[in-house]
Amino acid sequence: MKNIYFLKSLKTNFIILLFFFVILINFDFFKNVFSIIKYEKNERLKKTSYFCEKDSQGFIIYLKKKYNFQSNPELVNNTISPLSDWIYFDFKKTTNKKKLILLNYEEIQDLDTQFINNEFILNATPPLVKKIKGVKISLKKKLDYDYPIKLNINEINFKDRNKLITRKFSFKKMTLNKEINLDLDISDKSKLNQYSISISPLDIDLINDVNILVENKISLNDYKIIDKKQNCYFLEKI
Amino acid sequence: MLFLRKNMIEIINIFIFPLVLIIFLQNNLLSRFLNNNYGKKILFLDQKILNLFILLNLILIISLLNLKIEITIYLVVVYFLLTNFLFFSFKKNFFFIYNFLFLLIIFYIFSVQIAAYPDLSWDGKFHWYKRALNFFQDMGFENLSSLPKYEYPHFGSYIWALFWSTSPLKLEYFGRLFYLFLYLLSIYSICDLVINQKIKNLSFIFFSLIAFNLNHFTGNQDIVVFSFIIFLTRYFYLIYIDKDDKILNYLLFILINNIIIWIKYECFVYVFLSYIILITSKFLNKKFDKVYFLTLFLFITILFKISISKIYQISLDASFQFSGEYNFKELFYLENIIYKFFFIIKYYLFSLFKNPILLLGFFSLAIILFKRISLLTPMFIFFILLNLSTFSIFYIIQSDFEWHVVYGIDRYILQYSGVSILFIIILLNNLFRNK
Repeated sequence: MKNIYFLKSLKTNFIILLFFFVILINFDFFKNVFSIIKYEKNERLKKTSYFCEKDSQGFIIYLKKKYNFQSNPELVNNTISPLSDWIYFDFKKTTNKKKLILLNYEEIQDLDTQFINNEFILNATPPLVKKIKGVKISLKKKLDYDYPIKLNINEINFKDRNKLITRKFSFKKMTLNKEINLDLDISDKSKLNQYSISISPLDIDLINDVNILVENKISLNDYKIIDKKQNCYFLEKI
Repeated sequence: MLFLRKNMIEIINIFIFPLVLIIFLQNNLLSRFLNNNYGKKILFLDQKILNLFILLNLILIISLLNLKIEITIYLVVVYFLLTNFLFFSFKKNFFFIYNFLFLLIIFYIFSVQIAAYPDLSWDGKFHWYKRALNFFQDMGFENLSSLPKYEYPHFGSYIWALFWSTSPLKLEYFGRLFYLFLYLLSIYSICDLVINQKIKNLSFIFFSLIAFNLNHFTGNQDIVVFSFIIFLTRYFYLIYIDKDDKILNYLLFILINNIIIWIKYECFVYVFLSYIILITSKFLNKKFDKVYFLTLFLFITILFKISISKIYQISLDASFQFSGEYNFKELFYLENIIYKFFFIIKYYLFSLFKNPILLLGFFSLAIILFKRISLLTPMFIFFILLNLSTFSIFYIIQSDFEWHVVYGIDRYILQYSGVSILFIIILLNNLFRNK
C-alpha cells in the first residue's frame, strides 16, 4: 500500500514538475536569468532596442555612457516614436537648449508611397517636416507620346480629406522619370496627418513609383556635430 | 569580478523582493484583533489584503504631504515594527511564505522577464516614468506641473518610485515588479473564491499565465487598475455572499476604492459605479444603515480627491475627452452617434479577441445565463455597465476621436477585464461543486 501511494505521489509530483518546467521554458526563464547575470541593465536595454532607428535608444545609451551629461540635452526624433530622453533625464539637472540629440534625421528626405485605393499614400509623415519640396514619378516604360498628368496633393486626417495643391504637367515622350518642384509649406499641419497624391488619368500599369521629397525643419549648418552615427546626431548650437 | 558581483546582487534582489513583500503583509496586531473579535471567520488571506490596503492608504496620505520618499520608507518600516514586534515569529513567516508558494514561483518566472527586457512602453516613457522619477528624486508634488498632463493621478507612479528607492541598486524596474506582485496577489485573491481545493491553485496558475503580457508591465498604469479592480470584485462579491455580513468586506471595499481613484483618471467611473450599485442594492434590501455608511464614504472619497486637486491646483477636467474646442451639441447629432457607435463597436470587438480573460468571461457568463446558474444580479450589472462605460468614455471625445479609440480602447478594456474572472469561477464552482 505504502509503495503504491509512493509511486502515485511520485507520478503526480513528476507531472507537476514537468508542467512547471514547460512553463519555465515557455517563458525563457533560464535565458532571462542568464541575460540578467551577464549584462547590466543598460546593456540589456541596448540589446533590445534599435541603435539608430525608431526610438534609437541604443544611440542614447551610447551617448550617455560616452558624454556623462551634466545637463539634459533636448531630444528630437524625426520618426513617430516614443521619446527616449527618459534614459538620461534628471530633474536635478537643467535643460540645455544649446545641446540637441537629433534622431533619424535627414534635411531632405525622399519618401516612398504606397498605392492604396487609387492613390499614392505617404503613411508616416516625418514630425519635423517643413515643406513638400517635390514629387518624383517614375514610369515602367518609355512612351513614344507625351503623357499629360494632373496631380493633386491631399491631406488626410482619418475621415477628413483636403486638397492642398493641384499641378498639371506632361511626361515628354521617351522620358522615364519626372520631378515636379513644389514649395508647399506644411509645417503648421497636424503630425497625425497623412498625405496622398492622386494622379489623373491614372494608368497603374504605366506608373512605377511615386515618391515625395520633403524638406525638414532643422538645418544642420546651424549646429556643430559633436557625434554622429548613421542618421543620429549629437549637436551643439553654433 | 566587480561587474559579476553587481549582476549577482541584482538576481539575488529579485529573489528576495517578493519574500520581503510577503513578510511586510503580516500585521500580527491586526491578526490578533480580528481573531479575538471574529474567531476563525476572517481568512488568513483577507487579513493580509486588509493590511496591504491599510498600508497603501497610509502611503497615499504620506505621498500628499510632499515628504522625501525615504521618510515614507521609514514610516512603513516603523508601522511594520510596531504591528509585529511583540508577536514576531520565524515559524509564522515561513508559514506565510509557504502559503504563497505558487505565487512566488510565478513571480520569479515573470520578474526575470521584466528585468531582462527593461524597456518601457510609449506612455511609460512619455508620462509615467518621469512622474515616478519626480518622486524618486524628491522633487515634490508641485514639480509634476512641469510635466505634460499634470492632471493625471500620481499614486501609481509614487509606488513605482517607492519600490525603485527600496532597491539596493536603485533599479527603476523594481517599482514595476511591485505592480507584478499586485497583479499576482489580486488573481490569487479572486481564485481563492474557487471552492474545490484541487483546482484552486490550478486556476491561479491558469489565469496568471493567460492574462500575463510583458507589455502590461512597461510603465502603463492599466495593469495596476486591473489588479485593484480584481481585489474590488472579490470584496464586492463577498459582501453579497457572506452570511455574516462582515464589516471587513465593506472596509476593504472602501479602502480599495479610495486607492483606485488615485491611479488613473477614468477610475472615477469604476468607483462611482461600484458604490452606486452597492448602495442601490442595500437600499432595495432595506439595509439603511449600510446605505448611510456607504454614501458617507463615497462622499468622503470624492471630497478627498477634489480637495487635494484644489490644494495642488490640479485640473479635474478630463483632458483627452474635453480637449480642443469642445462642442456639447455635437454629442446629440444623429450622424455622429451612428458613426461613433459603429466605430467603437468595431474596435471593442477587436480588443475583445485580444483579451482572453474577457473573452472567457463572456463565454462563462453566457453559459451561466443559459444554464440558469445562480448569479448575483449586482455583479452582472456592474460588469455590463463597465462594458457600456467603454462606449461613453470614448463617445464624448471629439478631438482625434478615431486615434483615441484605436490606441486607447485595448488599455481601457484591460482595466476592468479582471471582473470577468469572477464569472469563470462561478461556473467552475458550479461544475466542480460535488467533486
